[in-house]
Formats: sequence, structure tokens, C-alpha cells
Amino acid sequence: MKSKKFLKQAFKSNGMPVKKGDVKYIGMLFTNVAKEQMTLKEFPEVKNEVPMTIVDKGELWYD
Amino acid sequence: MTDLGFLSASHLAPLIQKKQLSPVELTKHLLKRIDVANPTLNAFITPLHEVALKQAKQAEQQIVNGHYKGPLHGIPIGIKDNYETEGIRTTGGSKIFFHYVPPKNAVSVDKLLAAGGIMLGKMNMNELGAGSSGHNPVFGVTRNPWNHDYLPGGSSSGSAAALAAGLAPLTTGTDTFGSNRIPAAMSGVYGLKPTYGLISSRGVLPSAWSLDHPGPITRSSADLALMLNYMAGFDPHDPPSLRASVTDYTAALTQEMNGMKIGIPTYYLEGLDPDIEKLFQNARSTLKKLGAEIKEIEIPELAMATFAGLAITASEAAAYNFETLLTQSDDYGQDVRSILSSGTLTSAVQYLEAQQARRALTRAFHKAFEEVDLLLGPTIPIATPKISRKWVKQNLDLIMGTLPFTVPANLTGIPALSVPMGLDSNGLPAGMQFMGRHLSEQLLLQAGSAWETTQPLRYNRV
Repeated sequence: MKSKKFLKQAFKSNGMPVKKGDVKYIGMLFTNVAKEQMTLKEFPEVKNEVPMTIVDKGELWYD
Repeated sequence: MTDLGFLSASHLAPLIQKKQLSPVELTKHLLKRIDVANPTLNAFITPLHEVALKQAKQAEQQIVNGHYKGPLHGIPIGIKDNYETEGIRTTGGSKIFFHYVPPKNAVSVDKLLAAGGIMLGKMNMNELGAGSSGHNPVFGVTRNPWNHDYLPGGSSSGSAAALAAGLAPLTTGTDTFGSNRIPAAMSGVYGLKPTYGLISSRGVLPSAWSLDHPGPITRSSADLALMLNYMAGFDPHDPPSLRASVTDYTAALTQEMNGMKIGIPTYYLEGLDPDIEKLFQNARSTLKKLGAEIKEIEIPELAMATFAGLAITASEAAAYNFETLLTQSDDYGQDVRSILSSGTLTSAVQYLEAQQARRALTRAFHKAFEEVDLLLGPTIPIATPKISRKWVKQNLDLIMGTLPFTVPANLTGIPALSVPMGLDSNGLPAGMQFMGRHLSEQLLLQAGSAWETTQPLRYNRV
């Protein structure tokens, strides 16, 4: 889990208030995301994909 | 004789059409049942006695006068409390919207009412749709009608519990990372997450824009088809809305499964609770007996789904709630506030990597559907849990325990249908989900309808 100090500093620099009791849960969630992110290493070709939400053709007009 | 409260809309509709059942009588009966059961179950945040009776009287008058609109006419419907309802408080299960009275209905609500549906009440839910449990710090936990000590699943907890308790024949839900399918599985009912954009999300409070799917939850596949007939359709004012032609979803309910090719991704066989594993093995055998061809397949990209689901949900939810998180953080429950706070720390790189993984996963699913008609797996890998006093931790743990199986369909936008699979050793329901190609709702409902004939809650038990 990311250290409580790291998380508190990150929130402070973003101007976000954070409750003392929330830090352990935020740390747990943060750690889960970071752990699951490691699965991407098994799929190096994913780096070449265009992110899903970048191209919204519905907003393009040709006439 | 079956209590009116447990009759499906597909059974009620002909009775109403033939004037053998009065919509007022039906609505009064359900409101009475709600008055008795809701103080314990907590399925409704706002039962709508006056509104429902007024609409029921109006429907009855129209039918008596020969203006029968179709199979939803005079049928009471529970509306999840994140669908905006004109002049009726819409809380999203949160203190943030505690006093919010929308000026107009969500598009789906308008469509259901135009078809003659009766708004029975606003349903309880996990706060802002951010959970899989049914815990709610403002309106209280919803209890599972099968055993009040157990969770009903969420976030559409009230919808699923009301159906299971015979308090409503039809309900709406929303599914961002499993919120229609998880409570359907835990409460023993049918939950459909349609193709992304098939049902307008205009007027539904967002959880995470790119993953949000409004949809029906009911007690049968036929009733899902019935609701979808009215809820689906292009909305030019809703950016994600699909320009897809809408069909009659009730037409394909042939209960036929002969020759249907079903693939089970091996991902869905890992980490199953023993009860779920046993029920799923039994279900596989039963599906074979129904004539389905079943094989295991590999979709390695599913390994990235949990990361993509968590990163996208937390980021998008944090973006939507950012201002109120700064100014009203005390008004959020601790579970949701922690999710939103973690979302503010998700980096842009993580968010975009998640969207890259999402494209790769979508492509992998397309490839799988070249080989099979449907994919199948348990809806969630765990058995329905008991209600814990440590509700914050339980909600967060339950997200991690369920999302890996449900979020792939949200990430890829494919339709997914959770059907009851059987009863676990505690006597609580478990579910399995069929997933299909984009816009294959008819096929999913056909499979669901065929499966339903096996009466899984009666005959598939651990």
C-alpha cells in the first residue's frame, strides 16, 4: 500500500481535503489499481492501441 | 394460486387487456405488500402511493374506454432512484441529491410511462451506483428477500429485492460495472445490461459516463424483452446513443437452444467459490442437454479488465463529482468518498492505458464471437455474502470480488444477461451470465428463455 504520507501529500498538492479515516481505504484502492496495472506488461502491443474514447466520430461533421 | 405480486408482467398484461384484472386493484395490492415488507427489506427509498394510484386509475379508464396501449399498460414499475423523475425526488441514493427534484423525466421513464406503465416507487441503491453490495449509508441497507441477514447485491439493490419479494413485476436498473447483473444474481432474478447506447442514458445520473448502461431487471426473460421493447431506441440528444434499429425483442423467445455455440472463457473458471463452481458445472450439463454446444476458450486480454474497469470508473466518477467532493465531502458515504478520492489520484496515463486495454479487449471479444454465438460464465465468482457491520470495507471488498467478472461487458459494450443459476448451500441464489455480440439482445433473451424452462432455482441446488 502507498504510504499514508505519500497519499496525504498528493491530496494536499491537488488542493483536496482528505479525511484521516479514509486514507486506509484510499490506499487499498490505489494499491489495487497499481497491482492490476501490472497485467498490462503481458500485453506490450496494447501500447500501440488508440485509446477507446479519443476518437468520437459522432462529433465530426463533414459538410 | 400464485399471489398477484409474483405474477410476471407477461402474465399480467393479458389479464389487464381482457379486463379480468384492474390496474387499480393490482397497484393497491402491490402497495399493500410494500407497506408490509419495505420496513424490513428497504427496497424502496420512495414508494409512490398517490402517484401510482393516480396513474393506475388513468390506465384503467383508458382501457375501459377501449384505448389499450399494449402490454405495459397498467403494469406497475419500480424506478431506480438515479433515473430522474419529474416533480419526484431523485436521490441517486446520496445525500448530495437528497433534495433534488428534477424538472423532467429521464428519457426511459418517459417511454415507460407513455406505454402506460405505472410508477410504483423509487428504488434503493448503492450511493451513486458505486458498489456491488446494497449498503447505503443514507437510506439503509437493502436486505435480501431470500434471507434478511444477507446482501441483495448492488448497486440496483432495491430493484432486485423488490422483484424477489413480489413487490413489483418490473424494475429499471443501471449497470456501470455489474449493477444490474450482480443484484440479479444474488437475489435470484433476471438482469440485462444491453449494448452500450441501445437505451438512452439522458436523465440518468451518471456514475461513469463511458461505462453506464441503463437496463431492465425483472423476474423473467420475457419481461426483460417486454421492457427493452419500450426502453431501447436512438436518442439524438444523448451522445452515446446508438443509431441502431430496434426490433421486437419478444419475438425470439422460442426457448430453443439447439445448436447454439457457447464459449466459456477459462478466465471465468478461475477463483470460483466451491458452491459457485458446483452450480456452474451442473448448469453446463443442463445446457448441453438443452442442445447447446459448449467449449472452453481462451481470451487472455480479460486479464486487463480489472485494471481498466477500476481506473476508468474511479476517474470518471471523480471527474463528475469533483466540485462536490471539494465542497461537500462530508455528505458522501465513506466508501464512495474513498473511491472518488482515489479517482482524483488516478493519472492521465493510467486512464489512457485503461482505454487502450479496453480497445484490445473489445477486439479480442470480436474474435471470440467468430467462433461462438455466446459467451458464458458465472455472473460473479463468490457466493452471496452475509451483511457485515463493517459496511465500508464490505462494499469495497465486494467490488473487488465481483467486478472482474462483470466489467468486461461494460468495457466492451457487449450485452450481458444474468439469469438465476441455482441455490447455494446457504439457500441463497447464484447467477450466471450470457454475453453476446453487440446488439445480440434477441439471442441472449432466447438463451435466457430456454434456460428458464429448467427452473434452476428449484432444481439446481448445492
